[in-house]
Amino acid sequence: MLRYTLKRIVGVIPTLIIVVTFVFFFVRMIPGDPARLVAGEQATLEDVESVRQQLGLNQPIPVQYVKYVTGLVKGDLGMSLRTKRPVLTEVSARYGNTMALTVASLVWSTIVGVLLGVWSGKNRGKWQDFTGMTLAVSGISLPNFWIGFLLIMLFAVKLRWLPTTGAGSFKNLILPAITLGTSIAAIIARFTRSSIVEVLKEDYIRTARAKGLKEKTVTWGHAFRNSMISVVTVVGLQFGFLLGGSVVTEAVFAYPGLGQLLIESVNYRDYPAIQSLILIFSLQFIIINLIVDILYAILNPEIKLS
Amino acid sequence: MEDNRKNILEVKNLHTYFYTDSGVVKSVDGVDFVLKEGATLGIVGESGSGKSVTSLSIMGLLTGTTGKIAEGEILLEGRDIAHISEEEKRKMRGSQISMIFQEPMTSLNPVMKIGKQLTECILQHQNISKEEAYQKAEDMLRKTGVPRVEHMMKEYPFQLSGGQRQRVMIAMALVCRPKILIADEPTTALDVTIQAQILDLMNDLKEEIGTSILFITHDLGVVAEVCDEVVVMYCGRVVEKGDVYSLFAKPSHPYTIGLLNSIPKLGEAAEELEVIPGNVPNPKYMPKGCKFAPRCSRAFDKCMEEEPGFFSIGDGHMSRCWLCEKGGV
Repeated sequence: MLRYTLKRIVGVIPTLIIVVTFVFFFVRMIPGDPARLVAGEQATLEDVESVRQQLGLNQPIPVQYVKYVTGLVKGDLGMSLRTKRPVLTEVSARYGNTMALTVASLVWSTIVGVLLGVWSGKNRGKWQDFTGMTLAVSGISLPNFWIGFLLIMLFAVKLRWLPTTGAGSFKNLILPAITLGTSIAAIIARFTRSSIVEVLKEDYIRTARAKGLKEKTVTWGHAFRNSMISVVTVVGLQFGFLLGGSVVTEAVFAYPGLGQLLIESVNYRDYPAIQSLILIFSLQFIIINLIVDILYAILNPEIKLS
Repeated sequence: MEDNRKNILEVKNLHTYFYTDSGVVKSVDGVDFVLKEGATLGIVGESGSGKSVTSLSIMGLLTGTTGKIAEGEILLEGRDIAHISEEEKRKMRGSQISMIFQEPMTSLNPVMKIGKQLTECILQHQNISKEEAYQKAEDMLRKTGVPRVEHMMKEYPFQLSGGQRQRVMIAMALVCRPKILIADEPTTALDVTIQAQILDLMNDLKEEIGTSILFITHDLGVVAEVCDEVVVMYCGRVVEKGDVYSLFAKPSHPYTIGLLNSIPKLGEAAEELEVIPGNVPNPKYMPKGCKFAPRCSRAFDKCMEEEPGFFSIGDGHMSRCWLCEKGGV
């Protein structure tokens, strides 16, 4: 198990190198000149050139790349072109907000999705199944920004129970987390349902029933864990989409997180900030996949013991 | 031969139908047999003959399928178990009647340790501590002759061979000392050498625990090995029954004769194996008369028109064939 984990961690390194390299070059392919944006609209050609020199953008791209990578290795993410402050400071100010939103969304959507999925799958073809899957299809089909606006209209504008924008308190988290988690909950519910339906057809479920176990024990003791093996993979992948979804959700709720920072940085062609943010998103995605692989092994003794 | 053993299980006029979208499938259509205490009764038939559905009906495991017991009784020591509540059926499963299945490779939960799978059955039915249950499970597993029992209790199914898994299944089925063990083709998926070992094991444990066995198989060789009495099923009906000696010595239904002839004989250089021509009819288009008539080489007009009754040909040996109407072929 330990060896398996170490092997997985070592396997992450090439992925990271590829991500760093690709992002560095692709960011520079976005049309637009950061030096011009920094220098301002009234700037002369000479001003722009001097800004360019100041920012180190006049150097050949391979040189910039080496500088960037050396900085990264030392833990230096560079200076934001927009705010002239270290990117690390900018990111850490918002990182907590995005994490809170992501984790809250993932937790509620996993719990609700799994319960709804088991409930539908166990009662396949009955009204419970129909209800559960109608909810799930709606959850997947509704765009999350639209859900966000509806929630704001109802709970913030009409009922005045919850704030429309901002971050920092639990109340601020509720609406964005519902918005962000809805489609994930729906996807998890559908996967759980089909997984449960498949598992309930297995021979060992018939064995469990033949032993005279209670239906509850059959479902949660035998079917559930087996069905989770495939569901865990899906939940892990959804986490990656949550990061993407958070960009939209943060925009709707003016929630000061990494997603918003990314939008601002792209608008400003803030190369160091964009690079760092995408690197952080990728790193998170990789870590989650690592956790998923380990969880998968814990759930599946055949991997754990080999 | 007078048999004084009491009837542990009586199946009377059992009809199990499956209600599908395209109509009613009569999988079991009037089956009668008696299992004596301490005996082994073989149910023989091809795929689709209704033998597995009969066993699922007895186990009360039709829930979740479209199947239902439409008519008839299943008496366990005289008490009807076909029409009791789901909860009563559940309590009966594993403690009074248990079952082992054809596929040992997939019949155990892959993510649960062997020890847990054995003990949970005991804990469900008996009010004893976890430690006692674990001890009981370990003792039962040891009786099945697997090596390094203490170790195996902590292993997962994928670490065991097919034969070992079937031994675990047997231990699991017998751990609560049920009155009846239903074995649904327990050796079909195993190597021939392992088959013989498993059959011996079942015979030994039957004596030790005092269980009666309902042995479902398509393999007449296995029947000859372990059974006292045999019921031959075709298309949801019993077509012939009798004790194992008279049935093998004087098979009277052409279907039984066909089954026996299709076993290759040692020392005979046969070019081709003998087969029963044709297939089991589609349950939705059952022949009008005798269900076997279209495949029967000795069928005559009456066979096509009218279904034969169950005729006695002496000593409890019975046959559902017009040829036996006047006793004997």
